[in-house]
Amino acid sequence: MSSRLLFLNDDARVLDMIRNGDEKALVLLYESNRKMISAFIARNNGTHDDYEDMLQEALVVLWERVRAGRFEYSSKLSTFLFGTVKNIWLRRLAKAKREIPTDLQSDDQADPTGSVLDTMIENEETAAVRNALEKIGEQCKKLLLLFYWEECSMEEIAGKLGFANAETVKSKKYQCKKSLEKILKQATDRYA
Amino acid sequence: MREIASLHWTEDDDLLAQYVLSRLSTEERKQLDDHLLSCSQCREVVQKEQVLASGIRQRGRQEVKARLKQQLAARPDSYRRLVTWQRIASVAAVVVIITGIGIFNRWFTGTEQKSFSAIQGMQDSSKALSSGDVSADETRKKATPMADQEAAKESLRDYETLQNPRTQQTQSVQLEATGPKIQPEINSSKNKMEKLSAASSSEGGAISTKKDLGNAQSQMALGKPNVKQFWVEGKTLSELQTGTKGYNVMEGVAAPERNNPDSKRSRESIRRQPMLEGNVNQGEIRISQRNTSLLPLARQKLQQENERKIQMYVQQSDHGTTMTMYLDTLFNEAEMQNARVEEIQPDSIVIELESQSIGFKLPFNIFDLQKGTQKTKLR
Repeated sequence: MSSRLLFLNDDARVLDMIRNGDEKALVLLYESNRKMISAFIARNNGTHDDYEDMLQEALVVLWERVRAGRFEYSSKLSTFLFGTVKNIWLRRLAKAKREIPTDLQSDDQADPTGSVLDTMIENEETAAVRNALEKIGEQCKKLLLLFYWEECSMEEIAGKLGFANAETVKSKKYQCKKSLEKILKQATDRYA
Repeated sequence: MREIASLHWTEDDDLLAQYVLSRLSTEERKQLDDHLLSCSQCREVVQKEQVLASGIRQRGRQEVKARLKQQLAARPDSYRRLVTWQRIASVAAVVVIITGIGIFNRWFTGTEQKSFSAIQGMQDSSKALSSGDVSADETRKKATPMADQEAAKESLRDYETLQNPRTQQTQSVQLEATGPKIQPEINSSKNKMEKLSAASSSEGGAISTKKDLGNAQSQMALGKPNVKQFWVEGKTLSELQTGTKGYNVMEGVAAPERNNPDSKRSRESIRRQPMLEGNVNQGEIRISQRNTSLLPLARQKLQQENERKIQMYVQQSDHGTTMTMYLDTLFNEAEMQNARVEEIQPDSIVIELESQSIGFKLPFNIFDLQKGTQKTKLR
C-alpha cells in the first residue's frame, strides 16, 4: 500500500518516462534537484562545475538502473540522487586526495550505487574498450550498446535494428564481440 | 533454474553475459561462483567479459550524459544560473542609459524640435494667410520640410484624438463621373483632418473661404497651401423649382429640370459637351457620406432647422476635391458606386445617385484650383 501511495507522486511519472526512454525525465529531475545538490557540493569544497557533473552522473546512474530494471523504489528519487551524488563525490575527493569533510563520511547503507557493474571500472582497459567501440562499425556499436547498456533482449534488438529474429542477433552479437576483442587485442597486451 | 551442463560455463556466451549483467538469480549465481573458485580459466573469461561490458556501459553513460548536457544547454532556463544580481544590475544600467539617451534626443535634439517647427510653421502660415503675406507663406514652406510635416500630422492626430474621440464612419466609393474623374476616398487621415477643420468651421452656410482657410491652418502646415475648406448646403433636385432655361434654380443651385421631357436629353447633351476647357475631367473628386450625427454642433442646428437640406463639407486642394455629404440615411455601396457628379454651372454641381440627385451651389468653380483659375470656362 505504501509503495502504491508513493507512486502517486511525481516520481512515478518520471520513472515511467525513463522506462519509456524519454530523456526529458532527466531534465526534470535535474531542475528539481539542482539547488539541493549545488548547496551540498558547495559546502564540501566543490565548484559549480562539480555540482553539475555530479548531478548528471547521478542521473545517468538512475537512468541505467531503471532501464535495466534494477531500480527499486524505496525512497524518493531526490533521496536516491542525493545519496548517489554523495557517494560519487566522496570517491572523487578520495581519488583527488582532498580533505574529506567530516559530514561526508561514507554511508554504505545509503549507497544506492552498489552492484557488480555499478562499481565502475575506470581504468585503462575500459577506456580501451570505449575507444575500440568506435572502430567496429555503427551497427555493431549499436547492437552492443543495446545489449550491454540498454540491456535489451535479443528480440527487442532484432526489432530495433531490423534483424530477422533473435538468433540472427545472437550470431551478429558474437561477431561484433569478436571484432571488438580483436581490436582490443591489437591495442593491449591483455587481450593477447 | 537454468541448466548448466557445460564443464566450463563461461563457454556459453549468453550465460556469461547474463552473469556479468547480474541477470541471474542468487542460486544460479552461487552455482557459477562456486565453479569460478576452482577454474582460473573461467575467471579470466569472466574478467574479460566484465571489462568489455563495463567499457560498453561507460560508453552508454557518456552518450546519455552528453545528450542530457545538450538538453540542458538548449533549455532557456539553463541561463537562469547566469542571472546574478550583478548581471541584473548591469543590464538595468544599460537600459537606463539607453532610455536616458532616447529621452535626451527626444527633448533636446529630435522630435520635440520637429514638432515645434511644425507648430511654428502653422502659426506662420496662419499669419501669412491673415495678412496676405505670400512671402511669409513661402518662408513657411521652407521651414516645414517633410519631417516637420510628419510631426505636424502626428500632432494633428493627437489633437483629434483628444478632441473627437467619437468614431467616424465614412463610406467611400469609387465613382466615374461624366464630368470630373472621381477617386475613391480611402485616405482616412484626410477625413480626420476634414472633421477637425469641420469642427472648427464657422456657422453661416456657405462661404467664407478666407476664414475657412484660416481654420485650415493645420492643413496648410502639411504642405497644402491651396486648401479650401467650406460648408455648402444642397437639396434634392425633385424639390427644385422649374426655371426657364431648362435648369431648376433654387437657392443658387442650378440643376437640370426633371419634369421637363427634354431635361434628360439636356443633361445628356451637357455630359457630352466638354463642359470645361483645360482637361478638367482629369481632376479628382472624392465623395463620401457620413451620418448627420457626426455633424459639428453648429451644422447640426442648421440641419434641424431645415431637414430637407443636405449639408456637405468640401475640401479642395491641389490634390483634388473631397466632398462629404451628411445624410440621415446613408446610401448603400451599390448606389454610391453608380453615383455621378455633373457640373452644370461653373459653381454648381449635381451629385446623381440612383434614387435621387442632389444639387449644390459652390462658392467658386471647384475646378479652378485643380487646373488654374482661368483655364476653366463654360461654353
